[in-house]
Amino acid sequence: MGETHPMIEMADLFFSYSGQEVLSAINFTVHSGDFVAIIGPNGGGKTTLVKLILGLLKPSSGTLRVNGKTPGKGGSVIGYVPQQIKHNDNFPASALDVVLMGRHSPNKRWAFFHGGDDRTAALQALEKMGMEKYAERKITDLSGGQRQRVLIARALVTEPDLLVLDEPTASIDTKGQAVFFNLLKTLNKNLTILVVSHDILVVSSYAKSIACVNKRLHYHDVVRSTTDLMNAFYSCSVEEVCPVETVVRGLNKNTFLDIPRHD
Amino acid sequence: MIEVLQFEFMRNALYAGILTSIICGIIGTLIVVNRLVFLAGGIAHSAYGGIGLAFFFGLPYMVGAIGFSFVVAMIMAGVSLKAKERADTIVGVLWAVGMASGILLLDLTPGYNVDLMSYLFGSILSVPRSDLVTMAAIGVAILLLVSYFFRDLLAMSYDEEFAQIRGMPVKRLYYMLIGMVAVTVVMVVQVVGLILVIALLTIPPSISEKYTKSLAKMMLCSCFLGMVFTTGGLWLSYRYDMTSGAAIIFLAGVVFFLSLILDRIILLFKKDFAVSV
Repeated sequence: MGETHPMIEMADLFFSYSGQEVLSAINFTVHSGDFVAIIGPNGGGKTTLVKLILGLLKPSSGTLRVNGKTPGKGGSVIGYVPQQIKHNDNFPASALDVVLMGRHSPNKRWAFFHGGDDRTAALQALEKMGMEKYAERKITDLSGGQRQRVLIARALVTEPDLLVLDEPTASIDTKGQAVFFNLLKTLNKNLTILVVSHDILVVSSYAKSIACVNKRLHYHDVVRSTTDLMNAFYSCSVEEVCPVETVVRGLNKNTFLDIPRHD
Repeated sequence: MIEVLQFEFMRNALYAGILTSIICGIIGTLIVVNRLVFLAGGIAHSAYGGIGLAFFFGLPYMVGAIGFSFVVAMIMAGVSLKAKERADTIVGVLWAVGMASGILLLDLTPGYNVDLMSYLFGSILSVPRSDLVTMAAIGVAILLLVSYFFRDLLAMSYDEEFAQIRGMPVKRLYYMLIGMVAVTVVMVVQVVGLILVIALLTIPPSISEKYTKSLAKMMLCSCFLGMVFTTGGLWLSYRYDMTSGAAIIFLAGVVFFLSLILDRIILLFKKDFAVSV
């Protein structure tokens, strides 16, 4: 991937929503080529953080740069994969149509149909995700996992430098999740990846670093051992001790993880 | 059926039905996929306030109705963007207040009485030629506008956030869509009545949505179904001497419920198939 440069930079960032402070004093840098997992309790501000990065929300104060630019000003380098699309069960679009939405730019108008280039790019993206044979299927007829792959393909055709995924495995079974994250690992060779997840196993086996968000943000650059992992989790919130304990017990049974080391 | 077309009013009714079907097929598709049926109903009903306003101040009917419902539509659009969870309440309030203020204003206008029933059900059998021309003009305008913004509208309808991140003017598109709904609904209501417009805005698109794989096809299919319903309903009303608007809506409703039953059967068949395999 060559030399790394800062992909996301947050300095002294605050965000309040109707008088309530959601994010406080966030300092956070993601370098290109990284694979960051954002974890944290529900309501801790994970989604807000993602929306700020996407430019859907504006910070109350502080600075935020994505690839050196303020987000939300067009020319985005971000490929966004939402958790799920909330709308009616019959939306009239094929998987290919959905991917083609990623190829639409607002200065191309008068077009009911996409040109050959767009279609080729969209089909390639679907192929990358192993979904080419579902191209003509109605998107609402696909399973949760298949739909997620189509949404990643839609993000990929925008030729992003940074892929942002919000709880991507929420609708995928455990077996599918491993396949899914291996796929992300492959994509990480060319892309910076930021994924919101609550799944500690995923975090440990795939992410290169962890950011724990609970109003404040704690960044853990390199995850090498279970101790690192535990530190990351404990940094989240003291109130979250109980779920963490269960996770610790679960983790120690897992032989593929390093046994906690004490320095 | 053919011999009935020698009457000009019947020909006009047929044309009005076809034009309404096209307009409602396009706009209705956008309304259904964006789940704006309730909002469209609110706009259409509150337009009655504009009619009252027009009579009270002696303004031309169209200026009053379109101006008023356009303003109401923009308020509704603004509220639904700012406070999504409160939107249905606000729409409900504007719906009721708009309609009531229209009636009060008509009460206060000396010596004039507009029949509410004719507003609700219209009279497709007495559409003058001039209205047909107006409707054709709206139809063309909508077709141009929707064609121009087609992909933006599709992307926005499917995933608003993604569209916004890709740099599409989502908010402006949304206001444009609601504005388009307001203008068309008011113009078409005057011709065929409020209830028929709501029926044609929702029933053909919600049937088409299940059986089509693209937004453009859904629009085409909705227009076609609308034409079948209006033409068939007109024939029924002629053949059995029934109210035309109600006959059209009833026919559409019957097909809607038949399609629901058909879905059940298909589902059962699929399950059976899965079990036997």
